[in-house]
Amino acid sequence: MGPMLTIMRQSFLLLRRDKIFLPAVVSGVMVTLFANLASDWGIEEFRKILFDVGALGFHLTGCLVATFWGTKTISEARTDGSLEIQLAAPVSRVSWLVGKYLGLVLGLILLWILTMIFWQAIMLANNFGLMEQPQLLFFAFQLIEWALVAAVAVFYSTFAGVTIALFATFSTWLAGLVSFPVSQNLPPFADGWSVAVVKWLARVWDLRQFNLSAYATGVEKISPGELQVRAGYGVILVLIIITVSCIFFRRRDVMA
Amino acid sequence: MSQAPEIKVSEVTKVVYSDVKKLAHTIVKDLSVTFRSGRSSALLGHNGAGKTTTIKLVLGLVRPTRGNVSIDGLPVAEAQRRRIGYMPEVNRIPPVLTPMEVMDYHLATYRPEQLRDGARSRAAIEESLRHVELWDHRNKRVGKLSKGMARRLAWAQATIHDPTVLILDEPMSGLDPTGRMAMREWISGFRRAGKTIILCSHELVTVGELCDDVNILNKGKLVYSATNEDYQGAYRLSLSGIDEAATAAMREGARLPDFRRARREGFAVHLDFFDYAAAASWMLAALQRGVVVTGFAPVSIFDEDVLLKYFGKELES
Repeated sequence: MGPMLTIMRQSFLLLRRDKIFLPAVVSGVMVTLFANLASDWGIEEFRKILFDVGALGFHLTGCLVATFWGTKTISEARTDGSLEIQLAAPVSRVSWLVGKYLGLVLGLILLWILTMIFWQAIMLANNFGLMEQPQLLFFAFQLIEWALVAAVAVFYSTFAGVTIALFATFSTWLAGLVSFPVSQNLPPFADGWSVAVVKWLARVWDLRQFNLSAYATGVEKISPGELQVRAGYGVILVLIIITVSCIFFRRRDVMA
Repeated sequence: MSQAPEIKVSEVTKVVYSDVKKLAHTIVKDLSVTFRSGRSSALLGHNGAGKTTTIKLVLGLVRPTRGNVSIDGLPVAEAQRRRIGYMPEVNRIPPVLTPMEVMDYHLATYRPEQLRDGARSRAAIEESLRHVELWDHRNKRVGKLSKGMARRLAWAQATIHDPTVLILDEPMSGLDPTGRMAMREWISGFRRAGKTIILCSHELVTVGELCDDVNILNKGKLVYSATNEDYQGAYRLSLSGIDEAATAAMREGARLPDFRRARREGFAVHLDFFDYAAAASWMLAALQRGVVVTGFAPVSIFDEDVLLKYFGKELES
């Protein structure tokens, strides 16, 4: 456990000093500001627009940062050779990979906290008071999605270079966003196999589960049980992806 | 301190496959080499000869396709890697970290028990950074350090946990003359302490000064292996000119029991003897005949004609 925590600490430190970090925070803040302005202009209910527009930006910022960081943490370490010196140490590959991932999640949590503080400030400035449970849950589920996308990036990075891992993660993330809507709108002439594959994909890889914007604005009601199932789904996916990544990574040769 | 271990690479073959066409490429083929306990061994060869892959096999970073690598008879695992200090050819330290953070991380992965005692771990880091004259730069980012400083940091990182095996890949690269002298001294210190050292370098003078054994790789195969003992007491006598007297002296010398070999090089003749006394007495005889003696020196395992044979044009240049 000790070496894993050391690796996590260093991974977090490296990400905190990463060039993407500050632009990501600024981008999160700007999106919230824009959402605030857009809410003022809109004719719909203020809070709904704030959450619809702001959530989209929040979602995009976090998932993109998770993609970049996930690929950077692993692929770049492989290509620039720093992986070589870290794995020459008495550290198992599983500890290294899990430590790196946990550091990455810590980095995402820090980004999440900073953006949340600003979001709360916007809400206070508009006399909405402190965030309520649905809104907090909305953001918590967004964080689960970020962590999931980061796990996907880590998975691809264990066997692919930076560019391939980046595009593969991006495509997988988009597939998760559209899998359910596509499965609901298949043309009647689609063959049986295609329908089966798309429906299966929509069941196992459906990132829509983590979008609670309708719930946060009171448009949709979700039971506590359903929320638990969705959170569990996210956590299980992360565990599966990281386990598979570890299996791949254990067998790889380290060659810069 | 535990005894320095012996590292054995036994009949190892490493095949890699290209990413695109999946073509097989053998980097190391049926390689057997032993890095003996407490000895300093050089690993030489052209670029692409398989030196770095051999090092990575020892570090457990690369798995052999066939054969095995062992440290004191045990497979390379975490416990064994704890005994190894590794300094790669290129600095692999993240540029955004400070020397202090680098050393802290390193100590924590190699000696996690030392972390519990904050004062002890800080003292170890301070001692190590002072040793390489980086203590005053401890809070500077690695990216802001000069190349020489970064190399010194790499040395500190490789040795802070007091390893019994030291693997050095081109340790002198990027160092100025003062830095090279210091590095040579540090490596000599490890050698005197009886640690096992594996040194990869293209600088034959450095290797000659610091190593007891030499192993030359070519196209993934071990083509030459010798130890200092093989040449213990051997001396070389160099004669000028190819006149009759020198040629006759050479023939006469070749008949002596302690004679090893003779070689012409341009207008010079080199005669190698297994024994100092034989070489000296023969030199006196040669001088009495009027032969001009231009050199009298010990022969090292890094005998240049042997190395020339394997290095060819690279050494000549």
